[in-house]
Amino acid sequence: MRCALLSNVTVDLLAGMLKKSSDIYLSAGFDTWQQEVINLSSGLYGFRPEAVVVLLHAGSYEWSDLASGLQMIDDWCSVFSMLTSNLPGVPVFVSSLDISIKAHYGAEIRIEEKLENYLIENIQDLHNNGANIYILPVKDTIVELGRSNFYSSKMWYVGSMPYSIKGLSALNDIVLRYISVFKGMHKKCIAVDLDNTLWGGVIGEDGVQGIQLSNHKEGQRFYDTQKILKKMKEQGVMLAILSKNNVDDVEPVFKLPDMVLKHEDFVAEVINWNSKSANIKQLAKDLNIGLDSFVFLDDNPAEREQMKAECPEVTVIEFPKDSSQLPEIVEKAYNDYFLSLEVTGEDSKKTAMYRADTLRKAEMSSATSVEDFLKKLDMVMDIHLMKEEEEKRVTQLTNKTNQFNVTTKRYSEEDIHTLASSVSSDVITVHISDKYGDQGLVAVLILKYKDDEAEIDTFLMSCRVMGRNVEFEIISMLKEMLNRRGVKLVRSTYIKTEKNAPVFELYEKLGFVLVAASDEKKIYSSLTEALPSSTGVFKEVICELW
Amino acid sequence: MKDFIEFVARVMEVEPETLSEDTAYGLHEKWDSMMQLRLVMEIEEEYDVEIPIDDVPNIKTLKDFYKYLEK
Repeated sequence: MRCALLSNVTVDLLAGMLKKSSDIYLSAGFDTWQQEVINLSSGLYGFRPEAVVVLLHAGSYEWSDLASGLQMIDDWCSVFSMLTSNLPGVPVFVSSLDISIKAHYGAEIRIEEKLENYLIENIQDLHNNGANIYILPVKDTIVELGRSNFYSSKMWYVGSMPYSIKGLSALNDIVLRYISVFKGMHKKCIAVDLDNTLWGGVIGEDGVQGIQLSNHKEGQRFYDTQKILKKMKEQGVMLAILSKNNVDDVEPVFKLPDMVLKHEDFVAEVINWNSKSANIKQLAKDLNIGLDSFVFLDDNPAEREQMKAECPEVTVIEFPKDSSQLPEIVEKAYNDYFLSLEVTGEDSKKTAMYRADTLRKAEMSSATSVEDFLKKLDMVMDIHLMKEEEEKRVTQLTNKTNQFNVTTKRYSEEDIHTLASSVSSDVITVHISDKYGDQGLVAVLILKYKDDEAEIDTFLMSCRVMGRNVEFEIISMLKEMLNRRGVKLVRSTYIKTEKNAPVFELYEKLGFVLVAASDEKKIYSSLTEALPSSTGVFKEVICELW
Repeated sequence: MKDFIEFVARVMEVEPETLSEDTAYGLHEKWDSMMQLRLVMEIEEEYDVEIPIDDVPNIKTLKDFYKYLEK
């Protein structure tokens, strides 16, 4: 299955795990999920996903007040609605948020739950209006695992990946489970034994008085199990009885007040002395479903073994040795095999039509184009010739930047110092800040001059600011600088590496002319006057290049 | 060390023969920055050791990782 994984944090390791069973799309850059959705010619749409998972880590933001938090969630939801309308028929799974605000004093208002619920309500609204969108219950997973097990602050600080191995594993499980529901892999019928399964004891021997079935003490585990099965039936799961008994012995049990399940809850009651595997084969025919649609629950290990041997397509639940765990095991079986995303009764499926009026709230805060989205980031660019105190950081960037790096030339601090001090070369640094904060030194350009020509020796950028047209703005500033220097022609090169596919067509996009190309390399040139002009999406550009 | 190499080979999904204690970050095709992260996490979990965040950039070879097991 082709599944796109969008996120506001690094999820490469999760993608690696999912790739074992699915074809996974991971966008280039960091936190570029919104641009991927808004831009109709993005890699996301080129991938033609069959499912999309949006995994949002709340810890990337400071949830300082309710109003701005609600606004951000509104903005996200308008992007989700864009996504679902651009990909009709493709299920979109959005993770529930886990907002953890560390400092609470006295009687402060707790906004986390309001914000977490706001997202869920909005997604449910979208869903109720026909959008193929669902909540991926990641928050529940985090509660079960515990935050200290799910997250890893070390990985967050080192690799912008907030999850521990345990967390990644749990995410892998939940994503696979939900996308498999859409592959139609879920089961349809659970066939259950009676004695020591729906009640304690053997009805044929102990009689109605002797069996254990009550809503307190030992009998409660069977009562609870029946309640879970009843809920499953209400979710559309078929229940069938598969028991070696006399019908007359069983009947009185249905009259007991603590018997949760009634005759009408079962699609079939196969109560006889024939082999259960023969019975289930007949049942499959009668219900017109495959044997692989069945799950079998039986306390008797001999029956389970026989079923596995004769009907290997049937999923046999590992009945717990300690029957106090029975309700838990049945609940788990529901999650593993029957999970259904449409909580309807017998109603027909929803249509995929939109109702524009209820999207009014989304539209009011929507970014209808990439340009609008970028303007709302309130980006401020600071571009200047490298300062001495930036040498170390620049050196580091030339050595570790891989994705947005056209020539991948690695330099030492000495090299950088030489390049910056020489008259025939310049090292240029770019800093970006946006409404979320200061992103720091994010791009480096190294220019080499000869007569009235300049060569772009190095052009690299942090993946954090990819997808924001920063490269266009940088080159437009360069244009002005080169004009003043009397440079008429600019040359540049793209050298192919395993990781820099995202910039394969960077220079084409910047309006350069392709002069020569081979398998490993592309050489370009551009007249200075043909370089792009300012993008207009930056709140402010502070330029000290001349 | 041999068991450790086998463990690392499983994480990297390569044959143990392609690894040695001198195998280095950036020089083995599978050992990039993502793998570095993964190795830190998997080694911590498997061997119940702690690798402080400040040490991570200084870990260059498998021998460097092995030092944590010896502590």
